[in-house]
Amino acid sequence: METILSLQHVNYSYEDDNGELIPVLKDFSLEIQRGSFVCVLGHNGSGKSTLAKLLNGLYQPDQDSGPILVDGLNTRDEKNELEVRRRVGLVFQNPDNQLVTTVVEEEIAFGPENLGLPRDELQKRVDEALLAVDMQEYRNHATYKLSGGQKQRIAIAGILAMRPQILILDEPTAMLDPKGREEVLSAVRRLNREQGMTVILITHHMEEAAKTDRVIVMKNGQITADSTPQAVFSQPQLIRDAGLSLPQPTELTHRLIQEGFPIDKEVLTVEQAVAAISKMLKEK
Amino acid sequence: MVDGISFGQFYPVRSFVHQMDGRVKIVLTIAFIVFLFLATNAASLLICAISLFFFIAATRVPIKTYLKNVRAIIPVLLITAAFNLFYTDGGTVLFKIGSHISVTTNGVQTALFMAVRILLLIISSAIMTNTTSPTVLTDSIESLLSPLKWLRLDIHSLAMMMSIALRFVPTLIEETDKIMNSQKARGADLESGNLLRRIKALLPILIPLLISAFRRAAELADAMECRCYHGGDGRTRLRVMRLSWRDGVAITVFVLLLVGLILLRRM
Ligand SMILES: Nc1ncnc2c1ncn2[C@@H]1O[C@H](COP(=O)(O)OP(=O)(O)OP(=O)(O)O)[C@@H](O)[C@H]1O
Ligand SMILES: [Mg+2]
Repeated sequence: METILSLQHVNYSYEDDNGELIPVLKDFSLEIQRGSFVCVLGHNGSGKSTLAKLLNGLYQPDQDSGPILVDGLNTRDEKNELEVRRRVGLVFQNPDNQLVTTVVEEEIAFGPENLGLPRDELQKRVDEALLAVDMQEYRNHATYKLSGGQKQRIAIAGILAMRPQILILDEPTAMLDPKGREEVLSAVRRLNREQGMTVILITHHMEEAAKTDRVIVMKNGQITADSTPQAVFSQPQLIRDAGLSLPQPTELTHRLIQEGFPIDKEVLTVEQAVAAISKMLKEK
Repeated sequence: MVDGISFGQFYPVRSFVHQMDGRVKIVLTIAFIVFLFLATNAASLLICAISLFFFIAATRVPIKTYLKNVRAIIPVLLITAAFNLFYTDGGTVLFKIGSHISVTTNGVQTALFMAVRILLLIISSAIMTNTTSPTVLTDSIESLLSPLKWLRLDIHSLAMMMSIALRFVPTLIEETDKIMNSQKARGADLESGNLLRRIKALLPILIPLLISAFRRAAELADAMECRCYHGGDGRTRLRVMRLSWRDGVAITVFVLLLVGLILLRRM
């Protein structure tokens, strides 16, 4: 498969109040394939948001760092700045802090307007993006009257209207109730499946990670695991070392295994747990 | 307690006034405020009020919204009226408070006129903000002030700042409410004591509010950059500004109102 994002030996540090350089990412290398659905996990402060901001050029890597290539464009090149931001769409945690206007339609048009697109194209992009997040009937609504999940979907639509190649979501469901979470996640999954959008989902919810193609675990600015969800979550020690917890169904089966029950190890969802436990009970 | 303030909030429906050009609405609102101060007798204030009433009806925004807008400024209204009542001389003295302050017929009239003016002023600006989205408002202000670009003023940024400020009004009100409730839950007493004590009691609310506003601002700046915002250069607009017959009608009404006011002044 084609590589769309690549980081080669990237370093990033910030200057603290005393002028000392504090490294956040150290010799960080990663490649992401076009069309994949990748999840990034990590404890608070492990550098996930920093990674996201490096990928769309909001942050620049250190002088001694290797390159970050987005679809072949080096994020360090000043002339690529706008094109990199357009191709790598970034959605943040708090929908209230990323909405710029008060009307849904205008909000979605904000990005494309900045790209200087002609008016009929703007209208087309708005329609397309509203459809993608399934909010067509809200076109003329006030953004401040929407629910959290709806606001976040509008924020996503605002990014989609720029037709990005990669969608990065930095804890997009952290401020939402379960219903809002599901709305946002199903919209994102649909984008990945139906439009082949490359998605990077940063999250603290293990259940969300379980439903992706690839899970990357970060700790202190380094990757400590990078594999399928099944493979990553079958290593409880590694997950605990990174300051994370297992998805609850996985935790349950692991504990049962510890108690000596012969259960299938690779359980991620409630459905799989039910299947594995009933299989074991029947075999007894 | 703070939920009554909905000032400056766009109310998205389709109406005559909503479809007017933003620039015309701004200019007419300013004109109306000038008219209010030209109106020095009861008859002229009355025709101002009547014309305003027709515009309210043409907005299709519920009256409830306007009442909310007005409720927020009642204290200002009362204070201004009181000042005018007590500090205007002339006319016959109605009664005296102490040896210095006397209430006169002139005072009553001035106070009443001033209260009506402020009321109409608030309603007229509410008509503008209720029917014009902040984006359109921004674009209109930018367009009206564009001659100042020759003075090397960054009009686009100015207009953008204003629209973002309006956009954050409901968010910050909600936040104030949350902080107030959490401080009350910790035993903060916000509603008793003298003025100084009350102001002191507000500090634990203002400081977290300020901190959170700065955090929001930083996040919003990031989000805007992520959406390729780079100032006004090369930006296109979803909504184009175009004058229509509606603007013609509104301007005609205003010209007639002005003629009426001038005639009434002569009388
Ligand atoms: N510009 C900066 N100024 C100060 N500290 C910074 C800066 N950039 C990153 N850091 C620090 O770098 C570390 C990594 O931050 P980052 O926001 O990437 O973590 P995260 O994995 O997203 O955490 P969280 O789960 O809390 O969102 C943190 O300790 C943070 O305080
Ligand atoms: Mg983060």
